[in-house]
Formats: sequence, structure tokens, C-alpha cells
Amino acid sequence: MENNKPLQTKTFSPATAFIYYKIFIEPTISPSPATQKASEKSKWLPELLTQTNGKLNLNQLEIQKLKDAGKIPQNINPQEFELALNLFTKGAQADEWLTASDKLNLNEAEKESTAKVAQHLLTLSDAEEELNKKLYFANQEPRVEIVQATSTTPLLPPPQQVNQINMSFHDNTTTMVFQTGIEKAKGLVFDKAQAKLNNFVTGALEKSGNKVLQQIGSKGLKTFAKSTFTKVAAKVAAKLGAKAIAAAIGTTVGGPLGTAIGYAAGWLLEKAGKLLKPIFNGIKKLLSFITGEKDFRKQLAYLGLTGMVIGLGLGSMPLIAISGAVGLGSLALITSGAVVATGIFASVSAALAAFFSITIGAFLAPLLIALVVIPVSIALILFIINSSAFVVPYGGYDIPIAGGESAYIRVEKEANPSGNLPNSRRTITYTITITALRASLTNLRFEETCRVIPQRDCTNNPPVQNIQAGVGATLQAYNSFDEIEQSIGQISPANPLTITYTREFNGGTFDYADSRVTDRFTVSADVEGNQSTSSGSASICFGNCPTGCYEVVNEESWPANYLATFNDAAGELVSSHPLYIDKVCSDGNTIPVCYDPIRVGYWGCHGHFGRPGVCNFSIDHTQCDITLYSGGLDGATSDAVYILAHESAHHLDRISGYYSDFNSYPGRVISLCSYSATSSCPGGHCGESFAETIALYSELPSFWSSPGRCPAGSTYQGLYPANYEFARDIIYEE
Amino acid sequence: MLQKLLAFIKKNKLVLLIILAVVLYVITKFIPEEKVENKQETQIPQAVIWNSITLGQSTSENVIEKLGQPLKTTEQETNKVLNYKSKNPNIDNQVFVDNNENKVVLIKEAIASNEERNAKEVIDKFGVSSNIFFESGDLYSAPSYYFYVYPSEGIAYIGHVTTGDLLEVWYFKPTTLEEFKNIWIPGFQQADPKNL
Repeated sequence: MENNKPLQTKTFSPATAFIYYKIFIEPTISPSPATQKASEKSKWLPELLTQTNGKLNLNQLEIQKLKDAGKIPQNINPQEFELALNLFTKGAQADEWLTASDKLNLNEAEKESTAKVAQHLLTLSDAEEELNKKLYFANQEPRVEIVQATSTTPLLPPPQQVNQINMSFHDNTTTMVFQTGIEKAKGLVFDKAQAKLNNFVTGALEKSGNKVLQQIGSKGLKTFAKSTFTKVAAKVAAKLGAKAIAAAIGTTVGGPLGTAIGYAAGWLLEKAGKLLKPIFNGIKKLLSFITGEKDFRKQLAYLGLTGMVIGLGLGSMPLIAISGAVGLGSLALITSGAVVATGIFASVSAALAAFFSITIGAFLAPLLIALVVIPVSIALILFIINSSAFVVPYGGYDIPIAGGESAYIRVEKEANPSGNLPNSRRTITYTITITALRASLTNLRFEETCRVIPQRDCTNNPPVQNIQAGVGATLQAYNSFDEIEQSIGQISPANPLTITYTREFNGGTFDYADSRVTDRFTVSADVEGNQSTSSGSASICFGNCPTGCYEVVNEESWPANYLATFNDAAGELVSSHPLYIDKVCSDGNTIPVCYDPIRVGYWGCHGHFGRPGVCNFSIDHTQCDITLYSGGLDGATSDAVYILAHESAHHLDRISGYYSDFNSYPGRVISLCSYSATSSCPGGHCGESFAETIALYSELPSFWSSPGRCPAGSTYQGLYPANYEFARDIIYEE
Repeated sequence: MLQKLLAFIKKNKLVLLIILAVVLYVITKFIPEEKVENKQETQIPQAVIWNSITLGQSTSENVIEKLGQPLKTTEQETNKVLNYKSKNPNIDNQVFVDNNENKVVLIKEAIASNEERNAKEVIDKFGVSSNIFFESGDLYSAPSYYFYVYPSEGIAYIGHVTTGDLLEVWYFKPTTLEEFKNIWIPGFQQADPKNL
């Protein structure tokens, strides 16, 4: 049976009421001009999140990169991270979240899940400290309150308020789900916002910490949970400040703070020495210089006792206590002959122990614990946090790779034989696999086209022959694709449909010599109440087919469809606009073209072999002059032609003086409706306008008349006659 | 008297040598530095002249006297900007006059492609500049034009990275690179000349 319900409903029985949690992020101060100002400065993030439905969609390469760098856990739950991102955006603080969730009656696994949310929230607020402050203030210093609720339906109810998020856990699996209630956004705005949000998040994560704490994650879930909790709780402790510490005098330090310190003590002793060895060595050298002592214990004794004297002079009790502990403890170590093996932290801990053993009277213990142990522990924990990694790795951020033209249908097409073939008669067998990605496809429509470059249509000549189709290994013969449409009622996700057919490329003296043949199969279907379309292409090069000076880099990394579309587009540009391509290729070098699967809001980039500060990449682009992304390759060839012409124009700009001609061309317009980046001219150079001026002459992109772009029914020549003429007369010479 | 002095010197030669060394050190290290600074200031060319307008000296009245009434006048921060027709049909020349001092502080000369002006004209005169900048931000293409600055010469240009084609030449009162950058190109980023 098909499961067409939203993800969060599938594990609940419709008849059973289930528990969910209403998270309220409530303001605690009144709005003011100051909060309004903070809101203005930080509103871009809430806006982005609204435009992406509160969801993050990092692609696998971005995720892998972050994992490799130790920036996200290996088995991170996207829902937990997304919830943290939403909380962050609403100004919620990690300690608030932790305190609120601590009041809930959660099982251990659920507690761990909320602790992880706190961890992610803390990561973001640490990495984006200024933004965090602005959001906190913009949201009127909000507090977090979580209220348990029940639902009689299996659905997680949508929130009723703007400042509310609903959350639940899947049965006993404790997989967290949440709803923000944000309206479903889609289209170009969604794509752009998604790209920006991805950039923000990856940027923030890259800023956070480093790889050293990975080892903690690898110690297992229990240890991980402790370390996660430790760090969050340590922040809580830091936020509690001196009053809370003072309040703890004479009492057992319990709750999160106590647990944190308990965990921290063991963790510090066990890990800190190794983790901070380089820092420790640096400190040792510095101390050696200051004190003139080579023995680290003596250095500490000097410094500690000096600090204590200064503390006495200043009347600073914490300084007296900490310095005294370090100094006396170090002396104790020296006199007892103990070896400081694990660095400053072990030394401090031993010093503390020594100090207590020497000087503490029973009645003073609670006071000294409060004054010495807690500040020292907090200081050390914060030092660890600030000087090392925050996020720990573990396994799979299972978000599918972005790209592809349909979320519902996948069409894969293969040609056999494929690639570069000699100029001779050849029968090509095409195999198409149509997969339903989310739900059954009905009302199937197929379209098959063939194109030869130099320009010729080959849809009916040579004819399609030997059509077969079927689900699984057994294929049945058909006379036409229409017959398959009528025969196959639906395609289910579990049973992809396979279609094969042949074309015989021959002709008198081989009609297809030195040409590229691209065969495209398009599938349209009804799915989940929508119409969806997807297509797959396969491309074959006979002899010296036209490729200009473009050179595909790392061909095996390109999805077959995209590669075929690119080849088709390159062939189209070369054969239809030879004088433009002559200019593009005029420096005698090839133009390496790469494909980057990263999800970004633009279709291409002229990175020019890894020039810094240009575009976003998830691949090593030092070998790429032009990089193409999925947006321009997953649709019609005309879109690929457009983006290739655009990026090629940047290359032309780089190798020639044609921009100067454009800059002086009478009446040329800089800001073009099809591309917002044309409205600016960084460094006095309107490179995007130049490239777009040239690209629009080759093809109008499919988004030309999309909302917010160019007027419906308008033409390039009609809107921008001077730009059109410049492209036609100076660049294309047509 | 002299004998006494010689005896004193002989007796305290080590101390005196040390004092001498210290004095020499002070003279060579500290005092000349100030002199060098003064000297450097006097070395800065005082007059950059473009179309009879002297940067840092000419007033807006002088500009109008030499170039006529501007096509338009706008305000940009603390400056008045006077636009004049250039040889480029799309871009005007611009004269920036400081409002407080009423002195011309910057001139942007727009270049037309048919002028066939090249960075070579600047390089031949002042050498190759290592002060190369580009405006960072959302870039979707590697820059093909960079901003080359000669702060002590009072000249800068936007030129093509390979052909040397000029888009604009800027004239200003000679200054330090830092000051020029802060005032006129604050959002720009310095480029690595080896990796343009």
C-alpha cells in the first residue's frame, strides 16, 4: 500500500491519542525602537526561513564536507538541527531551551534528543554571536516554555501562533519531528532562499570549533550524550553567573549544573591533556620565559602564589582562591615528587586536591567548593569549549541530493553503445528507466525526441524500432509509446518501468558523420494531485562532433542526463553561433567545464580556475573555468544553452576587450529584468550585464516571464534593443 | 686642565664609550626618523592636474570656469559631484568637490573604447602597481577588471587584467594607500597580484 501521508504521521495509529509538545517562544520585554532596530538588522534570517518553510536542505556533498571537517555529527538528525535553527531564528537561547525541556517528563532518549537540539542551538549562537544577540533582542528577550498536549488524530497539529513550534517524538524511536506552521513556499524564491540559508548554515558551522572532539563522539552514544549535555550545561552555568554560584554555597550542587560539573571533571581529566597539548606547550614556553623556570610545576607555583598575593592586595577572593590553589597545589606536587603528565588541567585538578587536603577544614568545605571548584571548573569548561570543537561527529544526514527536475519522477536514459563513436553505420539501443519517487504515477504521457547537431531533427528519421516495455525483467513488445501509455496504468515507487527501443543511424554516405545525436525521453504524469514532468537524455558523438573548445571535466561525476544536456547545448552553440564560439575560443585554450552538485540559486559560475571569493563550490574547482549547477541542466536544452552562453561570455570578457566595447555601446542597458545581479557593477565593471546581454541573444531562459522577472509576452529585442544589437552585431555577427 | 680631562677620559673610557654608543644610537635611530618623515612629506607631489583642474586646490568655481556648467550635480556624503560629458556615451566624467573645504578631491574620467587607451600609459610613467583591488561581494564570475592604485602619484585606474583596456582613470590628491582605500574604495579587497 502506498504511503502518501506526511512523514510525521506514518508511525502513529489513527485511533490512539498521542503526546506532543507546544513550544512557545514568548517575549519578556515590550517592543521598543531598540528592539525594532534589532529586528530590522536581523530580519533576513527569519525571512529566509519563512521562504524555505523552516527547512534546511543541505546536499550530500555539503553535508559530507561538514562531516569531514568535524563540524556536524555523523548521524545527525536533520529534524533536531532544523528545530534548533528555527529556535535560533526566534531568538531562543540554549539555556532557556534546556531549562524548559528539563521540566518535561521525557524518557532518556527523548532527553538526549532535546539536549542535541540545545547543542545545535548553542553551536549556532556561538558561531553567530552578534546575530544571536540581535535576534534575542529583536524577539524581545524571549523565554522558552514547553507545554505538553495530546492529539486525538495521528497528525502533529500545526501551531496556532507565530511564536509557536510543535514537536513530537515518534513512538519509542524518539525520532523528533516538528512543525513551524510556515506556509509552504516554492519556486524560484524558495530555491534562492534555500541556497542562502544553506550558505548561512554551512558558514556558521564552518566557523564553529574544529575536529578535536570527534573522539568523544566515537566513544559511543552514552559518552556522547554526556559530553553534549556537559557543554550545554556548562553554558547554562556560565549564564547563571555569580549569583547562582553564590546561591549554591553550602548545598549540594545538583541539577544541570551539578551534572555538568560532574561530567566535566572526569572528561577534563581524561581528555584535556591530549586535546590541548599544542596549547599547553605554548603556555609552557611562555611561562618559562616569564618565570625563568623550566619545571612546569615551579612555573605554576610562582605564578599561582604571585596571583594569590595580587589577589590579596586587590581583595579579590576568586583570584586568591584559584591562584592559591594552583600555587599551593603545584608546590605540593613538587614536594611530593609527582609528575605532571597530562598538562595544565591535570595539574590544576591535582593542585586543587592538594590544596583541599592541606587547608580545608570541614566547615569550610561547602564555601570553598563554591568559590574554587565551580569557578575553576566553569573556566576550564568554557576554555575547552572556546578553544576546541563543539560539534561531534556520527553518521548520516540523510537528505537527498538536491537537483533533478521533478521531486516525483526520475527518468534515466542510457544509450548503448554510447560516448564517442566512429563515423559509421550504427544501431543504438536506448534504455529508459522511469521511477516514481514518492507516490504512484498515473495518467502517463511519453514524448520522445531526437536531435542532430549540426542542426537537424531526427525524431522520425531514423525511426524508433523494437519498442519494448515492462516492469521487472520481463519486457513486452509494443508498436508505439502511445500503446505503452494505454497499457501501463500506473508506475509505483516499488516497480520502476523500463522501456527500450533502437534507432539505426545509417544513410547514404553516413548522414550523421561528425555530428552529435541527442535523444530525449520526457515523461509527464499525475501524482499526488499534481502534474509532474521529468526527462532523460542520452547523447552520442559521431566522429568529430562539434564541441567548440569546451572540455568536460571529470565526466564520470556528471549525472548522465546533465551531461547529455550539456553536450547538446554545447553542440547547439557551436553549430548555431560559430562566430561567437570562435571568439570564446580565440585564445587557443580549451574551456574546462565542471559540474557541481551543490544546491545553489544560480545556474553557472565562471570561477576561472579557482579564483577566490567567487560563487559557492562543493568540488575542487581549480581545474574548472566554467562550473555548471543542476538548475540549468535539469530542464530544456535551451536553458543549458542560455547558461553556457552566459558563462562563456564571462570567459570572453576575461580573455578579450569586448567588455570595453559593451561599456561604450550607445544606449546599452545595465540592469536587465532576467537577472537581478545585473543591477550592480562591482568595481565599476558590469560583467553580469555583459554576459547576460550575450546569453539572452542565444536563448531566453525558461524563467524569462516568471513573476518578478520580465513582462509576460516581452521579447529581448523589444525590451533592450541596444543590448540585442550589440550581441547580434558585435558578438554573434549574425 | 687638559691632562685632567684626558685622565678622566682614560679612567672612564668604558663608561664614556657606552654613553657615546647610546647617544649615537639615539641619533641614528630616533632623531633621523623624524627627519625622514618630514622629508617624506615634502616628497609627495603636490599637484595632480587634469584638464587644468588641480586636485586639492581647485574649487567648484574653478571647475565650472574651466569645464562649464555640469550636466548634473549631486551630493555624495561630504562631497558635491559634478558630472561632465565624457567620450563614453554611457558614462559621465565626475568631479568630486569637498563641501567643507570647497576643493576638488577626486576626478573620475570615463574612458570610451574607441579612445583605445591602455593601462600602459600609466605603467610607462609610474611602473606596475602592486596595489590591486577588486570589489568583493556576491561574485558569480572571476573579475576581469581590477582597480590599480598609485596613492603617492594621485592616480588610479580600472583596467583589464590581460589586455590593459581602461574603463576609468581616477585622479586625486596624493595620499597614503590606507587613506585612499578608506575614503574612496572602502568595500574593496586587495588582490594577490600573482593570482588575478
